[in-house]
Amino acid sequence: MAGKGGVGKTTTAAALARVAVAGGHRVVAVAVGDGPLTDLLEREPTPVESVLAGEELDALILVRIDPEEALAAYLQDNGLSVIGRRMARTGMLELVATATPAIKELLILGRLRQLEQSEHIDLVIVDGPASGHALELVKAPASMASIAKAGRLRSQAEQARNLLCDSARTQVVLVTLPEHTPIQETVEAAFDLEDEVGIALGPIIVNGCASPSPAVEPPTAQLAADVPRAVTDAMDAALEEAHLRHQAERELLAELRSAIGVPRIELPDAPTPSGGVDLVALIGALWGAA
Amino acid sequence: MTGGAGLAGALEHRDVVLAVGAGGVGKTTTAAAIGLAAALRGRRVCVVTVDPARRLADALGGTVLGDEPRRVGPDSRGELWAMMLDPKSTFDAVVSDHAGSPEQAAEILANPFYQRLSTSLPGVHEYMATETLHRLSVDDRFDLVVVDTPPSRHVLDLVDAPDRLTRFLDNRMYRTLVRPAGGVARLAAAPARALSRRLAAVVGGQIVDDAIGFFEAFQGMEEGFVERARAVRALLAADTTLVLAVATPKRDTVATGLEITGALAERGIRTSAAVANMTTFDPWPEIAEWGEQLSVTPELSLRLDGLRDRHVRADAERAVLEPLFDAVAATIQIHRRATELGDHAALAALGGAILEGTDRYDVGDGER
Repeated sequence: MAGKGGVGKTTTAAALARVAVAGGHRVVAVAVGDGPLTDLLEREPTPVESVLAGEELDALILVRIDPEEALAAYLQDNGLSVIGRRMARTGMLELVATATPAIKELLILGRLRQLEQSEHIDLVIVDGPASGHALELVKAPASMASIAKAGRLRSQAEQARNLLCDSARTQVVLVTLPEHTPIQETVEAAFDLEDEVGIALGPIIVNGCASPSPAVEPPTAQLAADVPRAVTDAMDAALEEAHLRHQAERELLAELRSAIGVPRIELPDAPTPSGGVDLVALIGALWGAA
Repeated sequence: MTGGAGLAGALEHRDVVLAVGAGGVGKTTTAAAIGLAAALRGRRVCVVTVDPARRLADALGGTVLGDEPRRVGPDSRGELWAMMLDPKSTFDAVVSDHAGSPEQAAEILANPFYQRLSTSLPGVHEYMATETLHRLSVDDRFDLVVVDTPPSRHVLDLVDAPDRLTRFLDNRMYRTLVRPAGGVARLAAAPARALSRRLAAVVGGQIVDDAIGFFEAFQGMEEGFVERARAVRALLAADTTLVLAVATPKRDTVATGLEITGALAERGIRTSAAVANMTTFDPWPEIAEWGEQLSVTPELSLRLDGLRDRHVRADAERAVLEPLFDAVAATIQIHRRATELGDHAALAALGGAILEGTDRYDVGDGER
């Protein structure tokens, strides 16, 4: 799942996970870093090793992948455990991560691949980092391949690329809002993902779509006589805004449709501001699309 | 909690405005609007944006924004300048400023490790935002600098990045790699070489060589960086700086806003105003005032039906925003509009609304 901050990406990931579980799949939801997925799924993270070992698993498992930990684990696997701890303490680990572009992203992808390969798991749903970073994540194999000509990191990069670029194994679900800038960025991200990375797109989810609202008729003489002008003006301003907003959204969604030829799932604006997503409607819509 | 006095008064004694908040809340637009409105009121303003959407860049004056301030209007009493934050070129300028000689600067700028560091070090965007802020704050051309901050979940980076970077450059472990020569340090040379060999085996030899080259070239520059970090921190904490939290009426952006203001407060930096963008305009209170006198005709009830949901939503939004609004002195709500910000006039109107504290405003292009 990818999308810029505030579009309801995490909520959508949580809903998708629940839908998949209801459909009988064994699902791992993955939070990269310290995202809020824990609260939405109402469960504590399970260690990746327990998932891989198939220990008494729920149908819906939450896993947290911390890039720093992934790097420390990698150093440990390479016989650098003591140094790794010292490096973490002195801030040196950060330096190695910086000096080696894409290493953190590659290690995250490595973890995801382990989960994907597990016989105990049917579906891995990743609540990806915000837009720019999500792109860095999926571009990491190519970046690494360009600097590491051989060795373990090179083969990791190749495995990660195979995972990402196989549409039977990986799809990116873009989440957006029906507003000018998010739509524009979604179109750009879609082209980047398909053309530059070669990764398949799943449906695009558009959260927070306004419900249709008819154009406002000017008040009749009767209404004008009954209700003070200030009150009708305020009412009509609000209704006009609702009408115009719905129209503007339709135009934007038409633009999105003509730019990207993948299915869209349009979800209504939530009645209360839970974070911008109506979870019940979302689950319903995903269920319908599944 | 509605309306409020606006920011005009608070701005009078400030020379820096720092807009903070989650991504996607309209921080860039808010910063630009405040800058334009202040310029229209006679200030000489420079707006620093991070990554303006094309429409906003157009609304700011239609010119392409670069990494140096450019005059974008208006032709009235004040001046508006704008620039786009470019972390890489800012970092290059910092290196050139602090280097002992042009040769030292050139050597660092050409180093591949430096080139990666200057774009991908965590917090480098934030550090360069504060660095740019510092530079502009001592620039006589401007009496108000408005800074839009990068959309960062790592809210502390903004204030901590300078310290973090200096700590990083001061890294003792690297010193053992870099300076294994002379006296007692010579004893450390063999383990240092062993360490660098083992590191090279994991991350690649070229990377380790580049890194060592960078730290060698960087010798003696740490002091200037530490000093600058201290100056930036003092500037942010000064009472001539107005920190403005921007949010939308959603739980997550409010939570991020509170996280940021809390973290800043721990570092002695007070957030004194909040702007809530995209709130729902709710005419229900005006209707309710007349409630009992209204005879509900079909025509009226058609209107009321369309407004009830809106009232429920607006109420919920107020509750969501309350913790953030309670934490600051001045609050401003900007209602969501059907059409997006189109032009210079619309941006000026938005800025005027923020400064005057009016929550409804006309935009001139299509709304009404």
